Amino acid sequence: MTFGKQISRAILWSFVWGGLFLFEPLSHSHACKTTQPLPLKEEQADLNRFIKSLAQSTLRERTFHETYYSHMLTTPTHKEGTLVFQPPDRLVKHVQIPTEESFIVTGDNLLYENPSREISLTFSLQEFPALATLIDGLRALFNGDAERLQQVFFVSVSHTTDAWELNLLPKTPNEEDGVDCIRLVGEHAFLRTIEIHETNGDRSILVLDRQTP
Amino acid sequence: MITTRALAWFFWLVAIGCGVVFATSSIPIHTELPLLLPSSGSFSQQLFVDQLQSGPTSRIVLLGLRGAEPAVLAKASKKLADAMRKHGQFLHVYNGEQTQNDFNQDLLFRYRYLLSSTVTADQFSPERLRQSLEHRLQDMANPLPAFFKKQIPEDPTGAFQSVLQQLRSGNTIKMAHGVWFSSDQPVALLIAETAVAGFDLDAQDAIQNFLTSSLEDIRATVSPPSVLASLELLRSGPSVFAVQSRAVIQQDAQWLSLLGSGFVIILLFVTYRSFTILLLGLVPLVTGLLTAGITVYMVFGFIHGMTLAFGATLIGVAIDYPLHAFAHLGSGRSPRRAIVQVWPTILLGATTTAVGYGAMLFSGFPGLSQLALLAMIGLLTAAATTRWILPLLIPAQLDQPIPWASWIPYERVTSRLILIVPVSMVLSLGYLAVSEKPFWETDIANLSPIPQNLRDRDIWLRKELGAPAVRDMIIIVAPDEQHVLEQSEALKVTLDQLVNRGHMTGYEMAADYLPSIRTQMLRQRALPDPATLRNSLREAQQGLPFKPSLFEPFLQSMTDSQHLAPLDFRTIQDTPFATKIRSLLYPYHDQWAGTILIREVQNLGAIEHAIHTDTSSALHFLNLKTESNRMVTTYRQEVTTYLAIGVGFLILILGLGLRSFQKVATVLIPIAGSIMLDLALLHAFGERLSLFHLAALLLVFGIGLDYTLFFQRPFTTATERQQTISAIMVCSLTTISVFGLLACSQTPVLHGIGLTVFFGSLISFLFAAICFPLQPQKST
Repeated sequence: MTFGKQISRAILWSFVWGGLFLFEPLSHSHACKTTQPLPLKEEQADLNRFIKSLAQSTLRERTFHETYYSHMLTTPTHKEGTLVFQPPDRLVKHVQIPTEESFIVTGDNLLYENPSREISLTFSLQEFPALATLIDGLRALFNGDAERLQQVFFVSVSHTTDAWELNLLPKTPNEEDGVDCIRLVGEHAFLRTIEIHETNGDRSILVLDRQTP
Repeated sequence: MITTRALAWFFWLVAIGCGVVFATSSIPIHTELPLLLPSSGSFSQQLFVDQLQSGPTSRIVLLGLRGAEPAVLAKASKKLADAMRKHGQFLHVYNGEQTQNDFNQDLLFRYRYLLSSTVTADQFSPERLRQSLEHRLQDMANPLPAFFKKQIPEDPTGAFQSVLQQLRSGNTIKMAHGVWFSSDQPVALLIAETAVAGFDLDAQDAIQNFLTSSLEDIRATVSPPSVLASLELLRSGPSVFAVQSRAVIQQDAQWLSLLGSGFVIILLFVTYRSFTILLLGLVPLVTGLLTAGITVYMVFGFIHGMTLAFGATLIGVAIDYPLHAFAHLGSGRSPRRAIVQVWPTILLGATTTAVGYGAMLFSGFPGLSQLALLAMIGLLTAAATTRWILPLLIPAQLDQPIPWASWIPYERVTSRLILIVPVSMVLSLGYLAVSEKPFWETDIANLSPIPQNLRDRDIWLRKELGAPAVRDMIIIVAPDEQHVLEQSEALKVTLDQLVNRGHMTGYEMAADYLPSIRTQMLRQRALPDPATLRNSLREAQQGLPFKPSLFEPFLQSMTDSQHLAPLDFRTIQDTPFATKIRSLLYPYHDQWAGTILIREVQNLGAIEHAIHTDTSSALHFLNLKTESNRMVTTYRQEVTTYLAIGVGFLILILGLGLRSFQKVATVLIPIAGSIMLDLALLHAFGERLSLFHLAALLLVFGIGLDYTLFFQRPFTTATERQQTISAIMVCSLTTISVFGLLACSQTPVLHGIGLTVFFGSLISFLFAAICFPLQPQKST
């Protein structure tokens, strides 16, 4: 009985995947925009300038609201806190609501601290390529380093007069539960949203508040 | 006559040739310090020697890579670890990159509820489950490694993470670029355990060579090569030290024996200007050494490097016998007559010294027994060769007086100078009584030829790697594996108290990783039945956004866990998980033993007290340092006793030989004086006396006895007396130069012996000369 169920599920999935393959031959099934060929020379210069201008706005501490959607949950979870980047490589995500937690990345180290649970864990990013890719990308972005960003991701940009959208697609396909793609949305020189889509369908949407004075 | 002599030479050379071939081809030479230690003694002493010789802790190799950018070092660390794992000579290699994957994940995951110390019935109550679920909800949205999220449906209580944490206990080593690094220096760290015993030196040597060549390979593969130009591999650990010690001792023994022989040959040639004399002088020495070496091999099955080095110093005494005989050649005397004439004195000197060493044969210290046997057989054979073989080899007409014998100002030595001897005795004793410097060597580590900076580095590497310094341990010996584990678990309460009170920072035992079957079954019984768990989980999930069916895998694995057969060492022995346990739980003779390593002892007394008040008789607390020092002290006391007995016998023999109490006293006073002054000088030079100094002092006694016996001999002519004294002087010079060289050795033991005999022989000669001045009325 269960075996029959498994078979029928497998057949169903093969149709779905086959369909995706037929209709979207150029991409994986990810939530961000499809890959584009490498930009032309003028476009590359534009991209460089754009990424650089973006870097200026990320240097200060920003408060954030994060919503996390998971296939394990019926409703999303919320977190609030601050995010700060200190060039060249220190990234601090400090969660204040619902519980105090902090994630401090320096160099290759990720330090996770949770005072209420008495947790203090150190990880080496090299051990976890999916996480390393994500952090590498964010650092390159905040440093305004378009070249580095393009070493790790396929980068595509779309503009309107005020708003912009940046799509990052990892160049090395990650193991399961890796990063599928990152979508960054902003206005003028300000980054507003960081959306991280995971390969398992989970996604986090982190909205950065307007610059605190 | 000539044909007889030629035949004698022929037979002697053939015999020696065979001996040399046999000795070089089949006598194994060992250099491991622990082999010098006794195999008997109290149970904890035996445990200690076993630990030192072949215990798992003796197989640990600590490595550090430095001399490049951290990222490059990390790459090198990964390559080196990879090469080491493929090599097959290592039970395990850790460099930090495999902490998540190294242990058998599937097995550990399946057995998580039996292995995790957090498993209690209480953990599955609705309240505690609720708390666990809230934590998982937090983890889910965090930028943490993916496995945290992946395991949530199967393991919402985090049992597996706690198992991994137990396995990593104490390993709070800094990670950078995916590998372990020192907390304060750019040094990538690795730790490995070799498959072969720590003191299987040939195998360990091969491993060292392998590490060196791997480093070269790494240099060759990285481009540009300049990046790794100054890449350096730091190595430490008992086996590394053992290999290094052997190299140092071998090197020392080689250059010392070469230089020593050269010195003696030049000295003899300059003195006698005759190749014949030179060759003849070496005959008793070579015969004696070879016979003694083979005898030691027959008795012990091997020769220790230290014994051999000490044996080589017998050159200093054995060469004296033929020289004394040569002094009595000439005046138309046949060589045989000359030798017969000095024989009683040689015999007396050789037997008394041999008897002195004989007492040490029974010391129970293999190192000293070997040394005593070598010295006894060597001296007696050299004396016998001088008496019975040398006459066959000497040409009939050999008169080679020492040309400078008449230049020595014997007349200047007046009887008033004799006062120097009692005065120096009083001064030496006074100085030794007043001095506050430690007199005895109580730390066996100081006998090792490994320099202090390398020993300091070992301590540093151990600290950085969180490897417990292998100094303090509790050993549990029980009939079987399960008893060892159960007793270890029973001890945890006591140990945890000691940790809480700050007497030590932690401990590591096999039961941390592999609980006893009894404990595993207790945990299984604590697991809730499926229906209860389902209800509790439903209650805990209320108001949380988890999907209702998310934890089905959890319920399933709980049922599975209840039916698992508990793990024991046999079932895990072929998994990577076992490598962590193997050094802490192992068969010991017919029983099983468990080692509990103690981290950073703060209060040794408190720990010892707590362990000793524990009623279990299977516990043995070992502080390797205290234990080794206690052993050194015990055996030194024993040796002192045997030495005293030896000296007693020696005086008895001397009394029998000289047949006069007064003569015995006049012979002994200068010797006693020189030994006291020798002790005072050694002390002033900062030497702390060890067993080996004591053994060397016995040699000084023998040398001094030789000198005084010859000095006090009656003489027929003044020329003969001049020749005798000059011969003693040559003897003394050879001894002084050979031991002076030995004093330059880097090996503390050899240095100590060298310095003792260097001073001793010099003073003995002077004192003998002072006490027996040339008295014209007797000499004519």
